[in-house]
Amino acid sequence: MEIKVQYTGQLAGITGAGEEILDLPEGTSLSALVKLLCDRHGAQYSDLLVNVDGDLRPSTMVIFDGEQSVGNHSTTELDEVKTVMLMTPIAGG
Amino acid sequence: MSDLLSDLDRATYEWQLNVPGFGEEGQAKLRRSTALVSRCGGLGGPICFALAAAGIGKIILAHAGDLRIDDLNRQILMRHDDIGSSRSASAQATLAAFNPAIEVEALDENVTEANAADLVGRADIVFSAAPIFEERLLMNRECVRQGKPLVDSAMYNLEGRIISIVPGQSACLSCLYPEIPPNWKRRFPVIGAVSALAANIGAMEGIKLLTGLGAANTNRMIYFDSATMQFQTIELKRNPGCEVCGNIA
Repeated sequence: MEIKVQYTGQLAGITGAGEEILDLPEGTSLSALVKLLCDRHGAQYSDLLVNVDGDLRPSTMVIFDGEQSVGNHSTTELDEVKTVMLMTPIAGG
Repeated sequence: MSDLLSDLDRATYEWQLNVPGFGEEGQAKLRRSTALVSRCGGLGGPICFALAAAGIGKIILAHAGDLRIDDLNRQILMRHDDIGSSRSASAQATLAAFNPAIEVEALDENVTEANAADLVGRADIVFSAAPIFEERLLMNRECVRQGKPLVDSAMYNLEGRIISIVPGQSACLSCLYPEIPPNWKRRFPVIGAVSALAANIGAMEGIKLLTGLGAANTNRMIYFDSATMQFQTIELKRNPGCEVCGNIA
C-alpha cells in the first residue's frame, strides 16, 4: 500500500523534504512505520520523534488524513490511511 | 452598544465598520477588550500591531530584555535606534505613535509563575507568542483555570501554525503537548514575513473570538508552509486525560 508521509518543522529540516511516498506491506502499523523512518533518517530524526524506548514522544502529533490521532495509536494499522503527518512542536516567533 | 464609539472612532475605523457582521457592535466589543500578549517579538509584535490597528481597548505586553540587532529581521515594533534599550518600551512607543487611542501597558518582564495569574486575570484574551514552551504552557494552564480564550501562534523556518483555544470547549495546548518538548531549541530559523503571517492569522482569530465575527477555528489547527503557500486545517481533539483541562466540562 502507498502512504504519503508529511514532515513539518525540525523533521522537515532533517529529511530535507516536506514529504515522501512509501510503499508499505498491508497491515503495517504506525509503530512499524515510525521505526522504519527512524532507521532511514538517523539519530537526530529519531531523537525528535521517539523516546529512548522507541515510543513516540507525547508531544509528537500524529495526523491521519487531516485529523489528529489521540491516545495509544502505536498499534494502529495504516491500511485505511492515505497520509500520515508527523508534527513535532514548534514555538518560535 | 454603539454609543461607546466616539466620532474619532467612527472616523478611524470607518473602513472596517463596513465589514458585514462586524460594524459598530464589533468595534465597541473590541474597544472594551484587553489583550495580554506574551512577548512582542516576531509573532507578538505583528499581533500587537494588528490589534492596535483594529482598535482594541488595551494591550498588556510582557517581554523582558533589551533589543539586540539580530531581533530586527522580525521584531517590527522595534527601531534600530532602540538597540540596547527595553524591547517592551520600544514596542509601547511604536504602538502609541501608531494609534494613540488605545492603551498600552508595557512590562519589562516575561510571563512567569509569579505574575501569570494576575496578568491573565486582567485580560479578556491571551495571545501566546513566546519562544519557549514553559511560558506557553504556563499561560495555557492559567487561561484554562480562569476560563479565558487563548490564541497560540507559532512558527519555524517557513512554517506556521495557529491554535485557538476556548477552555472547556476545545483542545488546550497541554492536550497537544503534555510535556515540555525536550528537543525544542530557543534558537530557530526565521524570516520575519513568516512570523508576521502566523501572527496576523492569530490576531484575526482573536478578533473573531472577541467580537463573534465569523467562526473561530477552535478544535482546528491552522497550519501553513510558506515554501509552497499551502494551508491546511487539522482537526484537533481534546485529550480526556489532559492534566490541565481533562476535568473541565
